[in-house]
Amino acid sequence: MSGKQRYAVILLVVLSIGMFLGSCAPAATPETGGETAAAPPPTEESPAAGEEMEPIKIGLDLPVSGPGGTEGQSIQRGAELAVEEINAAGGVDGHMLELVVGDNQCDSAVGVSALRSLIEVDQVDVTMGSSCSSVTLAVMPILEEEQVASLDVTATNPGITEQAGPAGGNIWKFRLNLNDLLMNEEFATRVIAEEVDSLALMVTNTDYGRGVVDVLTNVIPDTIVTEEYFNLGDADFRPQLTRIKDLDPEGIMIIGDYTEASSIITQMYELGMDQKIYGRGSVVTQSTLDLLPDEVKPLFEDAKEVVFYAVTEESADLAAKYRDKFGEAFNRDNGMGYFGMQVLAQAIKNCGEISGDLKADRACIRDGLEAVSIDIPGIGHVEFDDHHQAHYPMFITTIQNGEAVVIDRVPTD
Amino acid sequence: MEIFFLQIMNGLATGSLYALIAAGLALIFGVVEIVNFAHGEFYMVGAYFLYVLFVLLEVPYWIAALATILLMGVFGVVFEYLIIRPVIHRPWWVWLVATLGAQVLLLNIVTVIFGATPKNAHTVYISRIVELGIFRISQQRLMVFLISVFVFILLNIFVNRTKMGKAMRAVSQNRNMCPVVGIDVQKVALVTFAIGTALTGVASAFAAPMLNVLPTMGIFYATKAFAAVIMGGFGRVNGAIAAAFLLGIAEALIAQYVTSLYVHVFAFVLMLLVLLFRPQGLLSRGGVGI
Repeated sequence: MSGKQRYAVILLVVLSIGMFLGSCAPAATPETGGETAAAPPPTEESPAAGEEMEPIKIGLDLPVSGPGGTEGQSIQRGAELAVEEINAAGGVDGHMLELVVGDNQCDSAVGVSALRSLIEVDQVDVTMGSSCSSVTLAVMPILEEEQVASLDVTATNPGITEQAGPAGGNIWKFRLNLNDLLMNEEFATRVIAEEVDSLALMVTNTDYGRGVVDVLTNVIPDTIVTEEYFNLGDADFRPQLTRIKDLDPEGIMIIGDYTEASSIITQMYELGMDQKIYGRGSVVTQSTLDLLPDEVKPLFEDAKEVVFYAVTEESADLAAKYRDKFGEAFNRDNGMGYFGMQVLAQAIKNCGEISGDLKADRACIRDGLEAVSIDIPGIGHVEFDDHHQAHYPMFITTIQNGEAVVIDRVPTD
Repeated sequence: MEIFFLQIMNGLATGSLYALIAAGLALIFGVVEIVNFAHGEFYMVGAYFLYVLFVLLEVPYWIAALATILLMGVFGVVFEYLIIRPVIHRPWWVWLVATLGAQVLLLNIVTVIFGATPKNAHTVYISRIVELGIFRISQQRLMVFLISVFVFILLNIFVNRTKMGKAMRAVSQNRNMCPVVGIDVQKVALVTFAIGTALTGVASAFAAPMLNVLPTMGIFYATKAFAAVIMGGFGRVNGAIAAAFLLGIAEALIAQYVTSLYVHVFAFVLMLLVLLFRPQGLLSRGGVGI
């Protein structure tokens, strides 16, 4: 092989990796919900003075690098805040919580390795993640095989719920956040169908994005005029938007993340488009608004989205604490990371005695998750159904006078 | 037909940004014979330079943009001195690991300093729209296109007319013979890195205001730049520039007439076709050199 051929092979390998990175699935959008208290679950028993109890390891199976890194790191910071508070209050029955991060890069192949490393090398007791729907679906069989429970807080593909719980077959998977099926049907019929007759979809090219499209094309098939796709990390959306502009729909629905959404809306302005904007993911949020140039913001006014958590007054104290600690605005992903840790803390508490036998403790925490019944200020009451799916009212958000606000909460039971 | 021309214009606008990044990558490969896997992160680092100068320090935009390009040139010199020089005479897998390591390092350093949350460095030019018939484009995007063309003309003049440019061509053609005729190869490599990195700085300075500034922003463009460099004929700067524009246009037309679902796949199929049927590159007539 000549030198240049060798370089060609190297470059092709790297490009292939790049393409996979670009097409990895972004997770769903986090929002809050919960039943009991804003603070972490209280600890009833503290260890005797001088007695050191084994820490409980929680694996964070998240994309903390690559194109999905923004979301994963946000979830991680929310989880860190919760763990700091729980440990400061004495831990869970005297056991300190310890976070171990496994970077799944929002890539299914990497995610399998990352999760196995968390389970076999780090020997975590329970995991939280995988954040991206594609990764979550890919690693669910591993959870079953290794018998480790996992709580998802942002991945929204309905297939996860279908396969989870006693009714779905995989008893080790739990989901705190609402899924696309729960949210999109209501949103499509209550909001979109009432407001526009034609809608173009700008969709992130992932299992998550395609899952949303499947639901929408079933519920409002005659309204959708086109589906245009983009990859996670893309920055230029003008070709897709030019095509949409040519079709002249009344509305455009952006299914993705606030990072891409802000670029899409700015480029809509550039192309002179004035379609009504809808979102899924974390589109109609303060984070998107903050990334828009001032002149573009009026285009975003009155945009609407359904989400599984939006920051409301109920979460004001938590948002303030987060801002003090991390110096940035509290968002959906931070919230879900925080609430997920609260749920896991209660599951560990429900478990009763942590024996030190890893296999037994993992099973015990799984049982504890099934018994979770907690009120979380900001989202509502959380219990898991027979598909291990939590139910609480979804949030309908909009932009009013340059601010993201919640205008409605719709039950999902 | 109108929509066809609109998409061609979209492709040219996108291609100019690909080309700025690809040109630096091709230049470095052509002269130094190193595939710099950290090149996408150079673009990201440049964007953060602009963010710090323009947003945090409130330096006027044009001064901040110029300073970004100069700082990136200096960054390239430091990078060559610290990362490349120690490994340049080692086997290829050593520099492969070195530049991959640098990529991860840069990404993580920036994440630690600035966090993963996207920032913006908006200028007034992104919301000022120029209407060219049916085509609408922001002044900022038009600026990227015009400046890229200007920079490519300057680059060609430099490479073909100046003593250093001729030395770069000589090194790219026969590195071993250059010392015999008095060419300081190490100095040429240093200048090449400075220019290649400054080209990326141009992309950062003028494109970053249109985009979100975040640690992973280089991945997407590095992938496209690598494809353009391969299509252009490894190390052929003008070939890489032409291929970058072609790639931008192909993506826009595929999104319009085929599907946006697999637009990146089609782009790389195009790359494979070039490799199969014109492995020497789109504009190359064979031989060696930049």
